[in-house]
Amino acid sequence: MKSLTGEPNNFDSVLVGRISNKQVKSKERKNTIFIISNLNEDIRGYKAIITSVKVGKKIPSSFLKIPFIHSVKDFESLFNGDLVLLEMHSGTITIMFEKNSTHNSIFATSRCNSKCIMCPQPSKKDPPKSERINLELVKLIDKSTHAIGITGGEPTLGRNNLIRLLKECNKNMPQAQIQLLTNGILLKNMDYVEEIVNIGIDNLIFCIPIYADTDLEHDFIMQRKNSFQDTIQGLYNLEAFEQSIELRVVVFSHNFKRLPQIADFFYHNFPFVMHIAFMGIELEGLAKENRKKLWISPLDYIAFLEKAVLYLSQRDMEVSIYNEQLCLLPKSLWAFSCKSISDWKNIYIEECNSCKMRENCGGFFKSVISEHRKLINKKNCK
Amino acid sequence: MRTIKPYTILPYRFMRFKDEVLLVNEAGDFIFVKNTDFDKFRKFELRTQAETFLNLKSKHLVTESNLALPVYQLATKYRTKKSFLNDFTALHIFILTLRCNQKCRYCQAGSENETCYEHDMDISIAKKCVDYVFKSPSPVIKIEFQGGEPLLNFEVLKFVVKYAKALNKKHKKDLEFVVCTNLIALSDKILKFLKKNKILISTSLDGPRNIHDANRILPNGEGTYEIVLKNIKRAQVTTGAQNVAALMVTTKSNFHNLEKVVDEYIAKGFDSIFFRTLHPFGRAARERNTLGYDIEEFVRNYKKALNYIIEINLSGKYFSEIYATIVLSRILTPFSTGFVDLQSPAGTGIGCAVYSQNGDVFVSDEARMLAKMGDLRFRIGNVKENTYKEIFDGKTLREIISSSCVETLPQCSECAFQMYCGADPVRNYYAQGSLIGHKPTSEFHERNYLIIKHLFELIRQDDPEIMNVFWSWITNRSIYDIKRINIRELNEKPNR
Repeated sequence: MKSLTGEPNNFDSVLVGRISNKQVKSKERKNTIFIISNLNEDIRGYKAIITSVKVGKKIPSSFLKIPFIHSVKDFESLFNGDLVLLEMHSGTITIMFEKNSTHNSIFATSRCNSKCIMCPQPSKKDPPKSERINLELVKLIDKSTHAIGITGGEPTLGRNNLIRLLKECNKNMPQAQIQLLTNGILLKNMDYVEEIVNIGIDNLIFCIPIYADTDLEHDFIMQRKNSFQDTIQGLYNLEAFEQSIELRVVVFSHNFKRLPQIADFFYHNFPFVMHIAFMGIELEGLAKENRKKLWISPLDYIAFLEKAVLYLSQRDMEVSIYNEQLCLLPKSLWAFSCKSISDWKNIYIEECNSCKMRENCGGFFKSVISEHRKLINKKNCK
Repeated sequence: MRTIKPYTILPYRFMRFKDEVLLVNEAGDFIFVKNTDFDKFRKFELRTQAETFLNLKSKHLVTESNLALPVYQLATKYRTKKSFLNDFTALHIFILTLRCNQKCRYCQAGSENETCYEHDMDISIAKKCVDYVFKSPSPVIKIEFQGGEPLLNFEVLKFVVKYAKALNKKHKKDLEFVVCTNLIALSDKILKFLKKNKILISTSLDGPRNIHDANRILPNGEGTYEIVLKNIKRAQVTTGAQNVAALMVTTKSNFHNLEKVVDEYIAKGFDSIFFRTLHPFGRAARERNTLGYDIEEFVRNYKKALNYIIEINLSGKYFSEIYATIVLSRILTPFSTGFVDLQSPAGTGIGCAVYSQNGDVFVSDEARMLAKMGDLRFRIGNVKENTYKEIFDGKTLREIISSSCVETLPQCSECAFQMYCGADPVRNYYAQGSLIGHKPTSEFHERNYLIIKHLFELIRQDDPEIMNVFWSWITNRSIYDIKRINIRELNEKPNR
């Protein structure tokens, strides 16, 4: 997530609010974080104030009773309606929800019950009060939001936390598609699945990764014994309740040769899933540490990917490719490629500027740019 | 000396194909492996890191690790393949009358003269039959009108449709009607009713004029080609071409010329054909020498015609052969198919029931024909005399069903094609004298074995173009559609 920093005044709290650089009605002020460029603005009733203005030791008295961060740089990444987290002890402003993005996610927890060898966000402890902050955040999200991800860590880990969070999402944005990104391991418990289903969310989709077509290989990648079995049990439990499922396969050195067999395994064992996605790897976290072992050039795996995608499409299964660039894919796969990279991680390189297909292209993860620089040149551009 | 085996082999059946072996697991998933790999596999000499081992493991044929999981997944897949059993009888055939206005040389329906009105189903029996139809727990109910020529008893057809629709207001089932008619008696009034009630039309067309008129004739001996085609056209125009299908019967007159039959079907606006074999009943049994053929010869012609149809599809025109489509779905998809002639246990009674004009209930149309020939073996009751439970939970039906599981039938039990095939106890009984039958001399077995083997040979060759054709049939899309998906313009697909 993007974040900015500034100089805080001496409040010691963590709070969330909605950004506005204009005055809002008084009843909306208690949830609004007001961006000011002039210290004479009326700031009564606002949740907090941020400004690029540098304030010396003499803080105006009206600012003493309100959380206040000054000397903030790079305001251009903040837009009205964005939701931010202010950590007053450090002066950190983290953008939690971008109004103009379709890729917003809530991090239900940072903890995880597996240690995937290519994990971009390894498990860590949750900061204090993160549960409360998430619930507050959801309350502030625009009701007209189309889609929101619930991710982690492994969001199913704190069961009560997740249930509360899903209920709050359902209450606040009943129209939204809620994408729950889970490894599905804990969904092996039927009563857990039942509890989620009973919330009654109209448009809930479980996005579940499976990295292999056999147990030992999948368990090795997840670094957790029996995770293959548990996740499959979870998938069957979800199917028993006719839930929507997306299967996700991250493509990397350990599994790329078996993509066609993985596609076949999915079709024969999980024909009930709504969607299957093949995803390019993101070289962050553990993947960055293990990059030499994990990285495989798209040019080496495209043939396997093509076979797998066309196999599923031929069978009338919905299938997509995430995180790949059109110029590296054969044209037969263009229709399956989606713009899937979160806005804050997505970039293009110089060669892309003149590309006619740029608007439709997935672009890159920042983290893989150096690898892709080697591959993308005028010759490859189509 | 006992040695510890490096892996556990799960139940499978196999068949040799030249230098490869077809292995099929308990749920019908299959894989081809090289003979040499198969030998290593069965002797426990395959390395567990070998690609072949992983492929076999992925297909639930072997495991060196978790055993419970593949067994659990096989069970799940097996239930899916057998899910036709969940719902019980879906297809209900009403013999509205035995009267017919044609006198086809191969008639196997036991038709009577057009003026013998005593062979019509009356309203009171029709009502009782519909009551019983709605006692079936199936969420899908398909009522198919047959005869004789069902349009000759149109008043009762109308009654059945109206009464079934009225009952369905309460039952809320997925209700569908089909009328199997030669279309000779089609009138504007009838057509209007069929259209209004969305009744599908299934008619008969054996091929071009000379082939059709060889067998499908009026009582005075005249051919019916002209009038049938005129009425097919009328029906297509009024109810929409997709609501009119045609069936053909393969006889000596057309089975060397199946390509011509295909051309005729395409020219007349049909997008599928079903190469049906002759059933040795009624007139067909008596004229066997002039009409009949040997199964091997039939399959040879069938293969030739199938290749011809594949070529037509490769040129961009969607046209399917229904029997191949059903068999391919059974082989290539994890799903169950509804076709009652290829089920285990057999679809007799539990997939399909036949209500005769006098209220007798039979497990299939062949069963009804046997009764006509004097053998009531497969009459499971009468709607006026018996309760639903007596008919559909009686000793006779239970005996037929328990004798028709290919899993337990001699020779079928070890056949690699078991999951794709089915049993036909009625046919076994009349052709071979027992419900179980005798495989080596069974025509039903021979036809299915040869056709399934042929399709597997094509699957083994894995020509991507031909596989696209097969999947276009299974998923009911034209090959153009399947290919277009691959080159679909980007902007047609919304970003997720």
